[in-house]
Amino acid sequence: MIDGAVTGAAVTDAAVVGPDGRVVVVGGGVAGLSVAVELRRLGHVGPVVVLDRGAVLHDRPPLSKSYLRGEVAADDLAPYPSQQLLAQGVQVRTGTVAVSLDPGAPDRPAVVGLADGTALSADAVVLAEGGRAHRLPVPGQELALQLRTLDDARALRPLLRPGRRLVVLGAGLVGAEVAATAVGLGLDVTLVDPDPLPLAGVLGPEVARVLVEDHGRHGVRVVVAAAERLEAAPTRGGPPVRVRLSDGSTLEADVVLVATGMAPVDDLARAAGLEVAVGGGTLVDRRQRTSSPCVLAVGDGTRRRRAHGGVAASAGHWDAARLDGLAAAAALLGHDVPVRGAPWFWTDRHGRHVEVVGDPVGGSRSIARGVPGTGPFAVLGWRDGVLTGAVAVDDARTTQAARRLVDRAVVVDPDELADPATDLRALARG
Amino acid sequence: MSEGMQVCGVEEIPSGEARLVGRAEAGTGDDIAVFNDEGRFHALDDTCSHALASLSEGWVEDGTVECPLHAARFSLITGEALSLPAVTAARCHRVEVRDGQVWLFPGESPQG
Repeated sequence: MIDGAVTGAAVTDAAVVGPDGRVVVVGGGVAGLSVAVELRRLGHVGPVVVLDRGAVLHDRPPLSKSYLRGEVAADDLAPYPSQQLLAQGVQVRTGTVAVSLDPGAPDRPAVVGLADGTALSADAVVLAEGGRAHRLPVPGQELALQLRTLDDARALRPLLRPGRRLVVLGAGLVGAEVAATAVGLGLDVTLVDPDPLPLAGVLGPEVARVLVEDHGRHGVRVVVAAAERLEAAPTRGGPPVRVRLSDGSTLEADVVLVATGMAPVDDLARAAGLEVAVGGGTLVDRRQRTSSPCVLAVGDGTRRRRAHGGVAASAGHWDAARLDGLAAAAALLGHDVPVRGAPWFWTDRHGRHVEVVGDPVGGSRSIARGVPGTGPFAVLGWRDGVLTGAVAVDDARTTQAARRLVDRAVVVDPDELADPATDLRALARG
Repeated sequence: MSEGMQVCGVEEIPSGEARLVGRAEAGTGDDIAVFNDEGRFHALDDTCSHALASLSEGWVEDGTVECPLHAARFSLITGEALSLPAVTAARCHRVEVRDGQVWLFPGESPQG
């Protein structure tokens, strides 16, 4: 039995494709493109085709910020420029919708069916189906816009004119970024969320409070309530949308944006009979493998099985998608997958750059460096001798050091961490 | 070829840190960051090729610098962009250590 188990492990970590195998990636976001580019870096020379349903490949972080401000053109949003992909022999097919997947078998290629009736065969398929914006389960929700794709941003951008009333439902990362961007553009912005301290569970209460107060300081009206109903205005010349809230009040809006999160897309995986998580998301292991041997999956459309059972929480962040792509490329070719460091994400609002590493609220002690709200500051989580994570505001030096301190499990003294004279970089270098 | 400029003594840039040379002083289009990676000195254009950030504030390790804003990594030796979100190389400048002094040759490629 022990021999069998060892052999089994060796077989399952073997290459899915040879260096000249044909790989089809469904989805050209940062996860899917990272698979393609990393395959080339690792020496894969076979055909690599990336399919994307959109007309233009694009990264997402600028959609709520620089793109909405009109500072970036759509053609400059691609994670990799098209000439670079072309030079690497990565074939990108935009405007191409995959509608079916035959997952194949080791002796039979997988087949991806396309909306135009044609099909692509592949030695391995990587699903990068992404996410879709969560819709609000309230009457009239179709009157609200959403922000997930470039097409969504294209619909929103021309509506963000000075003086217009924007109501944003949901004060998470995207909602807060759009509110900050829009108030900067001169709109009258109201940000609605039932949580008085949004993101406190991720950032900790000190930083969450500073960020909420930032909204007020910059002229965003914050309302603590839930939206119960959206109504088209009944009178001519009135506002296009009326938002009825759980506190009995009503907001009148020219534009309403729903930003209440993302749901993983697993349409192809589900239709092909692959295992998916309860609540959605193609199930993958740490090598991005699905329940079918020739199909891997990456990015926002996935959920990861834990090694000892259960399913990890969805990350949904840019860097996690990128790392999934690197891992999938390595797994396809039978390499060890890179060791993954602490999760990391950033958000930009009202001129502040906020970064989160690991789990800042997972410690038994919370250690502040600097004064929240004034200049660079950070809050570190500490437990059992090591950092659990950090949240840093305009403090890249602390973020960089904290990433290493978490990843390398460097033993640190909490009083030393709290001392402003302590150089975290020096601690991280050991 | 430029004749080079004396930046500072080697001990004035601790390992893992960088010294910024202003564009006016260097006569270049961008400021230049001069890095000390464990005793090896390298220089790159300071502004990240992805977004407005100063690479001199980055994390220096194993011949690379990681941008402080979005963690794109660049080779200190070739300037190559090694990870997203950067895809364009940073321009490299030749650096020499002479008699304990760091000399920068703005605009001159390290590879000659």
